Amino acid sequence: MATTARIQIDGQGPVVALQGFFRRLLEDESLSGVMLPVHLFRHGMPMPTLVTRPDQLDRADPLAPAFPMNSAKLVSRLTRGATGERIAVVMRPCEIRAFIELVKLNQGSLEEVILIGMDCPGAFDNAHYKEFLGDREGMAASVQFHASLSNGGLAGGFELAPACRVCEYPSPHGADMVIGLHGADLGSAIPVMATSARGEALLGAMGLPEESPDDRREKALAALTATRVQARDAMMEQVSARTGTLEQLAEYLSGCVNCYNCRVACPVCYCKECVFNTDVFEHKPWQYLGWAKRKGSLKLPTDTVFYHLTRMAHMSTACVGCGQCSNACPNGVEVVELFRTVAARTQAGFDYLPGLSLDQAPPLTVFKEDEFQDTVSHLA
Amino acid sequence: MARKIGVYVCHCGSNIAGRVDCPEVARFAGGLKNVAVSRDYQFMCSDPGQDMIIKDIRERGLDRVVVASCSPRLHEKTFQKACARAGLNPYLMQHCCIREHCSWVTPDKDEATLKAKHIVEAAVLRVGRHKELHSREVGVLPDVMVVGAGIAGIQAALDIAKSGHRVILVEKSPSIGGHMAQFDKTFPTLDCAACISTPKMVAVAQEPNIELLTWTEVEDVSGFVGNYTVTVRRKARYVREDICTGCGACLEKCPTKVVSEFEEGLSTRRAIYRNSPQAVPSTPVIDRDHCKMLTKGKCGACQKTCPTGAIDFTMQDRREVYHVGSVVLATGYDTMDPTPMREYGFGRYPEVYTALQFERLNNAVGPTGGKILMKSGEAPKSVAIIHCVGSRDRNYHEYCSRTCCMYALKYDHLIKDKVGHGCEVYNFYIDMRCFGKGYEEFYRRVQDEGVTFVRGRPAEVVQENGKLVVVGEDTLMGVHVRVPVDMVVLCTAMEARPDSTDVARIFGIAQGRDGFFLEEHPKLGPVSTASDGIYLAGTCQGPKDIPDAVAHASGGAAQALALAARGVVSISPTTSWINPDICVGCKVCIGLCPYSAIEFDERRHIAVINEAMCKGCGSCAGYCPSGAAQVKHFRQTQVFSEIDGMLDPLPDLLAPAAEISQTTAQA
Repeated sequence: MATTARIQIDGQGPVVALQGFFRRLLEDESLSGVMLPVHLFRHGMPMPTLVTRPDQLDRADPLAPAFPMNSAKLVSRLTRGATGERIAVVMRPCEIRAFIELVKLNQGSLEEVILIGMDCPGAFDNAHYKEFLGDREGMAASVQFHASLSNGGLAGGFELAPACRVCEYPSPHGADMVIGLHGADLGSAIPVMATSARGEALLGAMGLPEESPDDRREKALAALTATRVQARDAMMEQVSARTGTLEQLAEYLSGCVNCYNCRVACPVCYCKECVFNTDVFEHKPWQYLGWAKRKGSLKLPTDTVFYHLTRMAHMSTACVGCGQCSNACPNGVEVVELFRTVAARTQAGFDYLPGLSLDQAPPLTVFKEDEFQDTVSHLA
Repeated sequence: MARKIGVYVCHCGSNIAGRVDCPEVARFAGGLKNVAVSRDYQFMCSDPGQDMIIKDIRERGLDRVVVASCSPRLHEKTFQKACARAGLNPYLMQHCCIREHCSWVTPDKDEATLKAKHIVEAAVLRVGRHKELHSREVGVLPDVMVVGAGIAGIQAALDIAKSGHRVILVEKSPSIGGHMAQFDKTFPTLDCAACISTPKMVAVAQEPNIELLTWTEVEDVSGFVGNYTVTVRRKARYVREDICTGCGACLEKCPTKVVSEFEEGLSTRRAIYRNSPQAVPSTPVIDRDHCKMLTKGKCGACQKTCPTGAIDFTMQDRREVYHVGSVVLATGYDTMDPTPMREYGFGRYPEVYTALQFERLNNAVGPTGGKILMKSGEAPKSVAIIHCVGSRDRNYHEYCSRTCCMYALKYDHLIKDKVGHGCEVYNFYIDMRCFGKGYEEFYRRVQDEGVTFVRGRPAEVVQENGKLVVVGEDTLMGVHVRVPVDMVVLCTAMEARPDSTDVARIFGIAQGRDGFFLEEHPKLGPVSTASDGIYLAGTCQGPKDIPDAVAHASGGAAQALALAARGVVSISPTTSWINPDICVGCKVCIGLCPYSAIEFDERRHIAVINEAMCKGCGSCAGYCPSGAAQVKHFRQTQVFSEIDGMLDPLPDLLAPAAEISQTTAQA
């Protein structure tokens, strides 16, 4: 699968060029639609939109540095059950990884979906995207975002979302096609790589000019990944130091109000009904009073640390670090930093890399007789 | 929710009351929310103790009961039944343990009393969340399957058949009899193995209630106690059992020679073969890996010779399905291959034999016609018998194989008897273990026959000047010894069959650390397993001699018969249940279920428990992050309430513990 095509950028800029690419893709008879971010309003948030008519792609903008939600959950809804038709979805690397995790849990299927992965330089969280956008028109702002990134970084004190600053996976894994932004000159052309047989068939049929191979993307990617890994390790060290004891952890999470927004935003938290919504946590008035009496006072709401601990137990092995939890927190709890730090340990413990391969079964779904011998050796 | 809970604290004589202040625990329980009555009594399990509970339920209208006494393993059923007699659903009783978990393991009296209070409070909080549950009764199919037709399987099958129940006896070899069919004499009585086992084998063949399936292996078992569906694969024999008269003409015409497994590699058999002239059934089998007709399409000598036309090269393996109420596993053992123990030279020196090979040398229909001869054709002038080869050895098997001491003594006697008293016999042993009926007497007898016993495991066997030299230490004399002999017999360990793991998986049972199948209880449940309706017989559970294997097999047969005779079995209601409104259909629980009790409903996109097959192990509930899968009687609300009670600091509790529980509760 070596097919690399080029999306030629003319005077109208990269967003329009990409629109052209997707319009052409949508003309393929095997595809019924394409899901990608669209500026539905001039100043609003670009939202994932399932487009079936090519003329509706006029405001599509896969370059927008906005990340209002992880679209894995949406693609899960679009693929839970066969439609008999095929669609393409444009996703960030972390969205694809989250979707792969959901597919492993029977919450979606790759059968009828073509994954188009975008190289991802990162995005703003919701508040900062709005600030960044200001009065500008969405698509113009997107172009400026990418221009400033290639000219030495974001200006005006803007920073990427905390999750993106420490993301070591800025390029897609497991996609059918990859749009290679890293190292690309957005003034001339964007390379598109077919990375599966299905992707190759589709891309080949589009009749785009071939891109001659060079190592610009690899170099840019390596440099970016190195920076990210460094930032990630520093972040984890700092979070570990701040959460070493149960008391420190309680302080770290002290702003939590049990709104469960992080859970709703989490792409791999896949339960239909969360255990925290069940009668297990429906405490009686006399219980609250009893607990308060036990130690003279009771912080309310209760079960906040327990909630986060439970979520770590349930899904830290599947955490892809997309950061939507932090994006959704109304009280500024640094959820993604905590989860990534814990996930690094649990994922290493099971030698598990979430979302990178369909063949790697989620750790708690398989029983391996010989694992953790050092832990259980005293029983032998 | 207002409850009327009765709490009953048992003294268990001084077992509990010796450490725990039982009246104080009862007083404390009386002050807990929803507790209507609390009492302490010397022996709650006694009739007056149970009557106390029954009376309170009836007169005070208790709707929940907590009994604090011994382990639920001991008396949960007792108190459940007492509640049921009083008209209270037995699952509205919580039995908590203040003996094994408290008084027996807590030296300090104050601490033990506090601990007992915690345990009781946890039970009181938990029982408030209990729900009524009802067991179901299902019918038991009358037929029984016995897997393995060695002496244990034969005994079990005959016992069951005698009662009038039909037995399906499955044997993977071409004929029945197992290892016993290979033996010559049996210790300590020295009656010949064939003389005592052949009548049993014939009885199996003639018993109308036994359906004998030789050359057959079990492939799949599904269902549950009383209702098992077993799929067997009947391997193609290429000889029709219904036509073959067992005349044996074919055996002579076959041109292909293969090393004989039955003769432990000491001689050859043909590609069409049977283990011995007395084999049951006497129908031969064709070895499809070696038969020229089956491998190359050329030959057919046996077919031409067969007077009845019983040879059929077109036969195929076929699957058959049986429905049985229970299964007795009698899959036997293997002897350890001593080749890896290079120090003893097996496989390198021709005159080093395994015990089973030596049995064949002694057997009248064996390779030497029952004469103890070396490969040269001469009788040995001296023999060394090395005990505990691979047994009682940390590098191989830690356990004792239980039979070697005795058969070694038998060999001692046979050598003296057959070769002559001039033949020197040396036993290298660790301990002589002659514990059975008549065994010690036999040991005496053999000692009197002039056999030499050297205490100490030999270091090695070497070959020098055409002799084998056993090098070791006589630990009683404290001297190194080098004993030159003509022949060495290795008493190799009995070990679990190499396919035990697969068999265990097929039948849903467990293996012990030694690899043998695990019984339900080492003392009180030696034939039952963790799977109801699957019983063990003979050496598949652990090394046994013939009397023990036979007794064990009769025990397994009795268990299977008890089930079949009653005709119904009660299914515990403490199974898992998946809430269809919450299940998201991730299918993970299906893969985790060790009993294949979960199915996927494609239409509703949810997992569904088959309650008849579910054992309530909780693997599904343990994973299910939403709590859609929960085990009844161990629901999250129940367990959380119990934990809450456990963590509730009592007013006079030790300070550090209180801090810990507060921090956790705050979280």
